[in-house]
Amino acid sequence: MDITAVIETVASLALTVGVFAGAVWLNKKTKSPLLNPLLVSVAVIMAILVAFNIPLESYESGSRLIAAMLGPATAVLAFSIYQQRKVLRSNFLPILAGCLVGSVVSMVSAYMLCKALGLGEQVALSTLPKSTTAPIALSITGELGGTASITMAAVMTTGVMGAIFSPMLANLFRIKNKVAQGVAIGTCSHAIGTAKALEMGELEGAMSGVAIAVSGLLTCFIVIAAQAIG
Amino acid sequence: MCISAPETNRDDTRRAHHVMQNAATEPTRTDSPLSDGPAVGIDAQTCAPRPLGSVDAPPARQRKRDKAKLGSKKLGLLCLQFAFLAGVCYVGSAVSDSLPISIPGNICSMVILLTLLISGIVAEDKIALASNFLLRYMPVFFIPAGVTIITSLPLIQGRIPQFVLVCLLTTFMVFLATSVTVIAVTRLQKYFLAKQAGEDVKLRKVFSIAGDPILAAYDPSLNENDAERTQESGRNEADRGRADDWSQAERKQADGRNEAEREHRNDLNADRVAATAEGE
Repeated sequence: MDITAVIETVASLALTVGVFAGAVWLNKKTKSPLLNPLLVSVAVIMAILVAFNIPLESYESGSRLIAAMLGPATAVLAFSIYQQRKVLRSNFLPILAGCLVGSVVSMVSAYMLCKALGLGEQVALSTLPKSTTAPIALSITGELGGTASITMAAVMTTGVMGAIFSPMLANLFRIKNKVAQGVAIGTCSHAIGTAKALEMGELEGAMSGVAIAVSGLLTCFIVIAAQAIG
Repeated sequence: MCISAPETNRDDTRRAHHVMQNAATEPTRTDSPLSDGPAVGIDAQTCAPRPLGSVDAPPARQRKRDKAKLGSKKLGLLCLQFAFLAGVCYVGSAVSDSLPISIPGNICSMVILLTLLISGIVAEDKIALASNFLLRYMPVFFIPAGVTIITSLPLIQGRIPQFVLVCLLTTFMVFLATSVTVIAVTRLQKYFLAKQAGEDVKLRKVFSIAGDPILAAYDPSLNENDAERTQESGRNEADRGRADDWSQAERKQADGRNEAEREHRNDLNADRVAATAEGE
């Protein structure tokens, strides 16, 4: 363990947490949903890396500690699901149906739209699993032969879009059913949307967490089944 | 080992809550465990020792000291709970590696944790601190992954607007498809429940935008928590008022229609209407 690794870790941690705190403050101050804290933080950190000519590798290795928390953070969604187990039990069928329809619509629409807009086969395959959570999406891309970094970009973009626009869509189409809101957010924008759903309410957050797992697994199975068929 | 560690946590949490309630009238906040932990500890260090002669310590000082105890205890608890969660994740990734199909480790850990919670092996409050912390700061953990997008920008150079458009459109489509499906299936469930109970419901009305107000009484998810939650959700006052206008009017109508016969079932629903009315 050399000194540069320690410096990298401390600097990345400070940069990430500091920028995020600033982005949250900005979001609270302006109350604009477009200034999503995650989006702003990612943009600012990218700009800092480019402006000061910091190699991405050193930020990446330094921020491994933060990225490692993603595992426990996803696992802990089980906690919020468990807290809402009553609602889950009584709404089991609607949730399952919603996730199934959402997953199919997501895969088909992503593939078709990419083709229609002339993004090419490779990008189309890479964006296909974009509504699932990052680890699932990456393993599906591996199965399909897509490009991992394009998948990652699609997953992040979709997540941020969902976090920004889901509350607006719910208002616009007068979707007041909180279970429907939560499941829809989780299905279309995985864990990034779930962070927003948790802000909206415990119930929405938990349903969104359920939807990540269910729609992620369904997408996995559909892809495996589709490949088996041909 | 992982399971035995949080075993002590529950007792500690209870004791901590007890101390808190005795010493301070402030409500206990578990949502920012780290931020008030160390800060209070420093406060307590600067706090002068209690004078020998005085029997009653000043309440403020007492409170500070209790809080400091609580702060360090919370930090310890948090670390223990994190260690436990890390253990769960380790097992989860091991399980995922040994499975023939590719289910990610995170999802495996989630299922394992859920199983532990449901089976009662791990009590809810034993992992509450760390769980709330992780759920609260979830977006932070995505930042490093987000920054790596920078490497994929050259791959889709010149096609970025199309790429963003695809993400935007599919997000809209998936959101609408999913929420409409959930609502439709929920209504269908209620429809069959109402049909079984001999209610005169029309499928056409059930799937109109407003829905059939009779069905409100047949909500399979209707419980006390729901009524409470409706009361709490006065957050978006203006929007809610606009959206609730018709449903409230229709619900009231429905309440009046068959009062005597449905009164016993409608208790909670009436509460709901009352709560909405109060909110405006």
